[in-house]
Amino acid sequence: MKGVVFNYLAEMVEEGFGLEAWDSILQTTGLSGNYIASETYPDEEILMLVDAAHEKTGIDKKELIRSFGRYLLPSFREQNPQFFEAHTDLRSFLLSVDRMIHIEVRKLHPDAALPEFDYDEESESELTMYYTSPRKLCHLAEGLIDASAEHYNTKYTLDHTECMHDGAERCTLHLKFLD
Amino acid sequence: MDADVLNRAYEREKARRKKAEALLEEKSRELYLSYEKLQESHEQLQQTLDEHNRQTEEMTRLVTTYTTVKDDLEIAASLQADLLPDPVDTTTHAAHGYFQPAQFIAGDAYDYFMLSESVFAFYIIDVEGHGAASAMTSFAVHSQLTPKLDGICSRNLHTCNNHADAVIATVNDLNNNFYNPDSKNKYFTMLYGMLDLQAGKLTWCQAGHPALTLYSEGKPIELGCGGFPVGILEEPGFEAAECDIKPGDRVAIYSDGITECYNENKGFFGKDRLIDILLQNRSSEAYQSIATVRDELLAWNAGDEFNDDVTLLLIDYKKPVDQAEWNSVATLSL
Repeated sequence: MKGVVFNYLAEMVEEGFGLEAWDSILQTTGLSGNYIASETYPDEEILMLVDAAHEKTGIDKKELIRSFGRYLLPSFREQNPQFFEAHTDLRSFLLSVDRMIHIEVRKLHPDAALPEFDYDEESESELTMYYTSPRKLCHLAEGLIDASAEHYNTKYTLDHTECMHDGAERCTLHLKFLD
Repeated sequence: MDADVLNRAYEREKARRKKAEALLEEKSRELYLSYEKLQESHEQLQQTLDEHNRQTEEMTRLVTTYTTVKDDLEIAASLQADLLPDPVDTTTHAAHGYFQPAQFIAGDAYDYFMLSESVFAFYIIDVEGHGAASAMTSFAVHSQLTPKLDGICSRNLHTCNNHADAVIATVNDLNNNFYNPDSKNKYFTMLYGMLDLQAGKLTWCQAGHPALTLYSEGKPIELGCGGFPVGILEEPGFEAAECDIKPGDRVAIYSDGITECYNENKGFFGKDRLIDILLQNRSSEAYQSIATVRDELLAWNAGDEFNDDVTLLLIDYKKPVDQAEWNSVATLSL
C-alpha cells in the first residue's frame, strides 16, 4: 500500500485522538511510522495499525475503517477534481471508479494494487457493486461511497449482503438511491 | 503533553524527512541519468537524421544524374539504331539483321554494303563488355568502315591483289588504329567478309569472332579460321578463309550474346540450338528465320534484359549478278 494512505491514517488519528494516540499505536505495533507518500509498504502494516487503533480507541474495526474511507475522500477529490467533476450524480460516479478512475491511476502508478469492482446496473435507482481485493478493505469502500454520496448530496441505503470476511469470494454492496 | 511523545514524533518526522531527502536525491540522480540518456539518444537521432538527409540529397542528385544519363543514352541508342542498315532483298542477294543491346546502347554492331558492282561486303563486331564505353568503340569502328570511296574497305579492295588480301588488310588497318598498349582502348572481335556475287565466292577474315555458318544443300557447315581479336596484339597475323557459295545458300553470322544467353538455370542457349533453329527454318525468308530465333531467345532468357548484346546477321545468295540488274542493286543497297 502506498505511504500516502498511512500518512492520511496518521493524520486522521492525530486529528481525532491526538498525537499521543498515534504515538501509542506505533509503540504498540513497533512500526517506525516513517512513511514516504510515494513509496509502497506491506499491506499487513495498515492492518496492524487498524488493530492497534481499535485497541486504543475502542471503536469497532469496521467502523474505524469506514471512518478512514470517509476521511480519505476529500483528499482524493482535492488531488483529482476531474474525476468528480465529470459526473453529476453518485451512481454515474461509482460506475466510473473501475471503468475510468482505476485505469487512470494505473497509468500513473503501474505497481498500484487496486481493488476490482463489477457492477449490476439494475435500474436508475439501484446499483450493485461487487468488491474483490486480497486486502478485504470492503469497509473502506463503504466509507468512500458514503463520502461520495455526501459530495453529490445523495441519500442512499447500502446493504453489504455478502462479505469476504464471512468467506464469500467477493463482497456484494447493494445500493438504493433515494432521491 | 508527554515530552517523550513529542520527542518520538520529532524523531519520526526527522527520520521521515531524511528518508524523503535520500529518496529525492536518488530520484534526482535517476532523473539526471535519464536526461543524459535522452540527450545521447537525441544526438544519435540528430546524427541519423543528418545522415538520412545527406542520403536523400545524394539520392536526389543521383536520380537527376541518372535521368540525364538515361535521356542521353536513349538518344545514343536511337542514333545507334539509325546506323544499322535497312534489310536488303534483291534478285541476287538478301541480308537481314537482328540487333538487341543488353543495355541502351551496345558494343555489338553490324553493317553491309556494296563495295563494287559485284562485291557485297559485310561485318559484325563485338566490343568487349557492353554499355557506353563499348558502344563508343563500336561507333568508332563503324565510322572507319563506312563505305566511302577513300575508306579502308574500298581502298583495300582496289589496292589488294585479291579478296583474301583485301579482308586481311582491312582488319589489319583496324588493328593498327585500335592497338595501343598504353591506353584503355577496348578490343573487339569481328568478322569481316566479302561476297563476290558474280564469281560465287565468299571470303572473310575472322578475328576472334564466332565462326560463320554456311547453310548449303540443306546442311549447316561451320567455317572458321579463328584469329585473335582486333586491338589486342600489335601483329596478330590475321588470316583469310574462302569458300565457294552457290545460289540458294545462306550465311549466318552471330555474336556470342546469342549462344551465351542463359536461362533461369544458368544454362546457355548454345550454338547447336541456334544452328538447329536456323536449319529448321532454312526454307523461310531470312526475316522470318530471324523472328523465330528472336522469339526462342526471348523465351529462353532469364530476365527482362539480355546479359550481353545480341546480334544475328543472315545473308542469302540468290544468283550471280549481271550488269543489267546492277542499277537496281546499287539503288537498294547503298
